[in-house]
Amino acid sequence: MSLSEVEFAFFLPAVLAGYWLLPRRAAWQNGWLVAASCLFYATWHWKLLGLLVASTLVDYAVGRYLGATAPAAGAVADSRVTGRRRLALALSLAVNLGALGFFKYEAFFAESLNALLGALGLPAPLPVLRLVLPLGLSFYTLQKLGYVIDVHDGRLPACRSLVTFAAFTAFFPQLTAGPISRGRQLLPQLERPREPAPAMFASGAATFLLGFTLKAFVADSLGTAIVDPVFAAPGTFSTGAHWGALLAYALQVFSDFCGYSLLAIGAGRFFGIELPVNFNLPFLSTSVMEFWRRWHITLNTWLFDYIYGPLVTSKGWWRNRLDLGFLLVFLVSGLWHGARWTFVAWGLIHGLALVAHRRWDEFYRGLCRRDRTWVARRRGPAYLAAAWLLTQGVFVLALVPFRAPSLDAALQFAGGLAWGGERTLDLGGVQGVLTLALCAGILAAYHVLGGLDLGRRAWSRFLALPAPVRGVAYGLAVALLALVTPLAGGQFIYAQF
Amino acid sequence: MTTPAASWRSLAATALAAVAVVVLVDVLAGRLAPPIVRREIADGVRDLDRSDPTLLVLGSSHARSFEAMGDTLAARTAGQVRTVTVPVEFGKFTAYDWVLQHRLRPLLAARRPDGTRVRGSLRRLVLVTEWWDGCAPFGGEPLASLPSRGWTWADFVADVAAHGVTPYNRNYVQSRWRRLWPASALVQDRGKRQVLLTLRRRLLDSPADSARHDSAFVRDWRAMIEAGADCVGDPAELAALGRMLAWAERAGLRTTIVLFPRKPNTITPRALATTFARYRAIIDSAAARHGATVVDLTLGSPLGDDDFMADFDHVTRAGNEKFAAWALADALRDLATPDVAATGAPR
Repeated sequence: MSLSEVEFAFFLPAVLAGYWLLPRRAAWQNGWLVAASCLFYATWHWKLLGLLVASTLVDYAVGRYLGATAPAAGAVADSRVTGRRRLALALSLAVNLGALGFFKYEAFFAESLNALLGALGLPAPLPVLRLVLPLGLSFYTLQKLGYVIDVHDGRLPACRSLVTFAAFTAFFPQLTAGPISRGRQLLPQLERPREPAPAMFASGAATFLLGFTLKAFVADSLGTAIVDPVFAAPGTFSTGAHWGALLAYALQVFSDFCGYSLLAIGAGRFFGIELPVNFNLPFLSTSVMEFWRRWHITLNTWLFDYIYGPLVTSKGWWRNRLDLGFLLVFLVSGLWHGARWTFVAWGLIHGLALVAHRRWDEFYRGLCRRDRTWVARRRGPAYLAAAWLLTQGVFVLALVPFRAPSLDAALQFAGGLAWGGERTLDLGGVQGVLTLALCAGILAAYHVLGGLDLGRRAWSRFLALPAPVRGVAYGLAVALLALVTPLAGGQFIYAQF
Repeated sequence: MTTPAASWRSLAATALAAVAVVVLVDVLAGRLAPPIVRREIADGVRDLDRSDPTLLVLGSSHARSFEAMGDTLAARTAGQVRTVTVPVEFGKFTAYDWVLQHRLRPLLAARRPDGTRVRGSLRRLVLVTEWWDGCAPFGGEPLASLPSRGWTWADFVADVAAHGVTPYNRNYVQSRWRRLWPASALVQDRGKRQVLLTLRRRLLDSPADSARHDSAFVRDWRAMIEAGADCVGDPAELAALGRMLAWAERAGLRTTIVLFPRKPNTITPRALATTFARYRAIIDSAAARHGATVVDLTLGSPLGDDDFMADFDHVTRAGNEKFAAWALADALRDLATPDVAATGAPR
């Protein structure tokens, strides 16, 4: 079941009705959410629900143990207790990363190793299992690991209630594709009873509608009209079609995932739960570092908080090796997206881009220290335009391996960007062009309304209009969406990660 | 995105205004492209459940054209010939067979406590088909028409329990959603874009555009039918046809296989010589094995190009009446003769 499809129109109202009819006690509400989330997950694959349940139980138990053995403030930790605590953390890491590795990477590593051994003339020793990737595994694994590490490091008290912890792990709007919540942000909300509030429903509905528009209309229209045909036959379409498809894919992947995140946030608000923001107008970024602070925020902050930060501030070899830290984080990010060499290439490109950006930033700050006019130049339109173009260019070009099914296909597509074929892209006549123009208009309006003062003022004015006028606008948006979106939207791109 | 501090009253006012606008647009869209409520499998099953027919018409969406004929037959024979039609939209023989085995046979085999059959009058089966039914589904995908139109809730639950929610079984939910709102143009049109197409034709298209569109559509149809020569005769589809005919034979039913009329301008001499000829041979062979009669109306009816809908596939209401009047006077006139002698028992 997906948040943008028709089953959810049956599921969500039923779950909401039960939720708000129950006594306003956290235990009841969380219990209901856990039951609904299990049902939500089971509709995808009920047998793999066991994996989610088992890993949740392990992390709950580990969290409780770590909480019970946490040294008091200012007290010196007993080395034996510290050792046991590390063992408990290792158990959680082994269970979570073991499951992730087994289900997501077994085939990748087995195939790679077999290919390597084959090249050396040795027989292939590893069986390649074609396992179903448990839905949401990459997301809920990171969420739970973040909790356990935070409890271990004393940044978060252990969750006392199993039901609350299960709701934290499995809350269905974020279960399949995030946002990846942190314990300190979500657990306090779940520990309190929730009360219905009109503002929460209003913002939830507006956010849900925006998410649905981005996913079901913009992403799916761009995907079917431009992206899919060209990526299906790389090299055969014209050079213009290749560039069009690549740019359209950048907008599609944004609309798809940002749309999903907004759907999740909107659905969360219906239950009185605020999920973290996952996208903050990334196409306004003027540096790769800024871009990754605005794109898939919850994953990137997770990677920087739990991998990059501990590494480069550690006392060991990694200390202050910032560039290597960037490369490592983005290789991990690439592999997190999928077990393919194309994702490794994507991660490498972004890791190198971050290294280049950091070096350039250091160099430029040196210039600024010597001559203050460089500071003003950096804020000038020419610098910003060039920086924007470079940032977005790196992101867009790196999408070639991200979207391509193999490195060969990626190279073929990259070749098509320079020397395309003969085929032209059929956009579906006037109606198709109008649809694509509407998609572009929606994305532009989204960035203008959220990113520019003028847009924010216009949005504030809209929100200050009388309720029936706003209702008319929302009604028109819903009616238009009903006319232009298919009944069965495509799969969420990020749900496959 | 945030909204100002809202009250329940302002929230209700916003929601009511939004609903009012959606309803208004729905009504306007319905005027532009009225939602078409078609007879589906469930209607046929419901009619069978409530009656004791003598004639069962099963097959492709074209079985709907026999609805008008059923009414005429009932009137002409003073109710002696009672017809139930079960059209399977976008089906194939495998789908018709599934509907027969899972939805119709249990009703036909039902017995009263005293052991007598509840529906013991069935004497004839008309199987409505065209070349498309003899081909495997494109791309090897399972046919969506069964979950959409043939399944019950129990079938859906069983499939979800076995495979989880999949694009295939999701068709069941989507069609249920549509059926909840039969009068809503917005719900019925979703994914079809007929409202937008009609709007475009009215606002943007010149007569020359429409003619260009029609000729391109005819070209596509001709190409598709000619390509059918390579796929007719799929073993799984023919096996399903055989199962249906064998069941009818065992049950003592007189079976007529009707090769339904096609829009004349979509048929090329090449298609007649290949796709249709091959299909006819296959059907003749199957009919001969099971004692069925074949009535080939591919081009053998008075239906002209204007009697077909804009999809170039289905017959208009006026065309159906024309077809019924002609068929009962000509190619299918024996349907008006009640079969009194029972030669078997439907099971």
